[in-house]
Amino acid sequence: MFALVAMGLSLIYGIMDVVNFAHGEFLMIAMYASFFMWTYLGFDPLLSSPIIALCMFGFGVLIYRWLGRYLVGATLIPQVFATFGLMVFMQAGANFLWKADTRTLPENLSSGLFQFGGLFFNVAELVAAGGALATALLMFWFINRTETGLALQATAEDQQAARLLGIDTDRMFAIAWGLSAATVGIGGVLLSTYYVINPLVGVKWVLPAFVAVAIGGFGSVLGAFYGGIIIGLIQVGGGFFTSANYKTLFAYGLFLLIVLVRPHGLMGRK
Amino acid sequence: MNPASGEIRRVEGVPWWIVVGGLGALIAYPLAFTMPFHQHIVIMALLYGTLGTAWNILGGYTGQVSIGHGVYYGIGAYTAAYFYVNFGLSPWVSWPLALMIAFVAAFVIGLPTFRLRGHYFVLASVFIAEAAYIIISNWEMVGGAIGLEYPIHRAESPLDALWHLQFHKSKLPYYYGILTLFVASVFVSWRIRFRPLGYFLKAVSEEQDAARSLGVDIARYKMVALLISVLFTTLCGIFYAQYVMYVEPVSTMSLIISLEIAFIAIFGGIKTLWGPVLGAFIIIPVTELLRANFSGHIALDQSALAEGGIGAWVDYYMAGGGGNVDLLVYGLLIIIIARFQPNGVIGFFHRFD
Repeated sequence: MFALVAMGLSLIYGIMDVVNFAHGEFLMIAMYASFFMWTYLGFDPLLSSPIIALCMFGFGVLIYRWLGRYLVGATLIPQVFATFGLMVFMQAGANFLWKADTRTLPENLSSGLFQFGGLFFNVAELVAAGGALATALLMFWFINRTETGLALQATAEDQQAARLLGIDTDRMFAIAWGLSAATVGIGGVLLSTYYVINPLVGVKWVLPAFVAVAIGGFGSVLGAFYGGIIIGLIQVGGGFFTSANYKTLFAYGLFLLIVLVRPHGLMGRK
Repeated sequence: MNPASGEIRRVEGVPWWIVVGGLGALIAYPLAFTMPFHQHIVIMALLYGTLGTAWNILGGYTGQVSIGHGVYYGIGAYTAAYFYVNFGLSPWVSWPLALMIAFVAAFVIGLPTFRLRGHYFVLASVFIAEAAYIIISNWEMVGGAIGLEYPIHRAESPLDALWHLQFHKSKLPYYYGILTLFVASVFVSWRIRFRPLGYFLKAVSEEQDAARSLGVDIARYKMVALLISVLFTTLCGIFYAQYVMYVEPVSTMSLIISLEIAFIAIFGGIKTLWGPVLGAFIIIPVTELLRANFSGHIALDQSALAEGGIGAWVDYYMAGGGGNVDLLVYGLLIIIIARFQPNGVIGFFHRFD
């Protein structure tokens, strides 16, 4: 799960050099969308995930057109604070529209427990893990095997050169934001099947995801994928050995360690 | 600020008579507007003006964008509250302690993180602030998620009230207290730029590598800037604790507080003397009014708060502590300013540049 959130984050950063602090709020929006699709339209999350991913793609492009575009090449402060502002705005907006109450998705296709060798698994979590893996594979395929994906990589490598080669970098940036929002959108839908939904859920997930991105190296999508898995394990392990309250502390500590010892992460480039 | 000397006619682009007039207006304000709420708005604007100015010394002049100033604010508030609640120790006694703790924290945090640059530094400060928040909300000694509440002290004399720093009915002592702190911070922020220190900070913020190659000890100057910044932030924390007489993690140490502090300076315009002041006097009245008019029901769910982590924000909103509509406006203002005027509001006044 962290892997999916982290991948989207890394994509925007890698291509545009912009850290999107509102990424977690994209996740939150997708979770609400999944919730409303189920309660009002009766669409199971598994069914609605492609629709939501598509909507989130559009949303990402929209945000890029209105805001992200002006952050390319901007100095650190407007960059960081534009997305921080977006984060606060979306959080407060969700809180305003849907109240601070925590919601959970009622029974759905992926509810239930699954027994394997004396261990109980939550089906929803297994489905989510499978879905996350599938989405990740799809992402890799898109980035490495399609023309648009390669153009994205070229843009990430060198904007000017890409422009000279006739790549529409503005369009590439828009696609990067869209894809990033779409992956986190799917993440949100999958997450909504077993996790509570409230206006602040985004931060809860995205801060550790930042750690995942840092571990993998900013800009490396594959690195972010591994980083996400590492973070997931550390949080579970750390929470197991101490109190659950402190589990995110391990992730934060790890971040500091990583950036100080190996500033470009495990697989990052300068 | 002394016009007679003829040396300084403008303070960072603002004619001296406006500065003196503004100060005079601030001194006279609570005497003209006696409603507690009206006074409260300006108290909060002064508080955030001080915080923004302090942040600007590190984030603006030195270019180290920290989103973790809530840590020092919280240390100030918590130290004052802890010693008052448990030992009846007046903040007059405990403030050096608070500063010491904050300085030690600043050293411990600053030494490793100042090696980081750009996004990494920002993220590191966010994580440190979050870690501090999680620790403080699970730390029973300081009340955990519930926090510390001041016992009410019935003062026998004005001197006694001053010793305990509790002036229940009157907001005037609070008002002039924070005004003094505000003027002091602006004065330091102003003078610092004409000292060698100011030039070094500027060098660090603009060309770290060049500065280092010229033999500037950049780590040292970053630390000096941090300590000055922390000094005022911690004092603000102590003031806040005395003012609201209740300290809990969400309103002192959470990420949103750290963000608000930075927002003030950035909205007004960083790297300028008047930016954070302008930011505070625009944002705070707007958000305070919105908060007063729209904030939700006051119902703190203590059990949910005890869960700690960022989840406790939910309760913060629900309690109307941070309001809701005001944050909406906060976010919107910052997006708009970052999108259209990256230099902050002050960028609209070009002659101030």
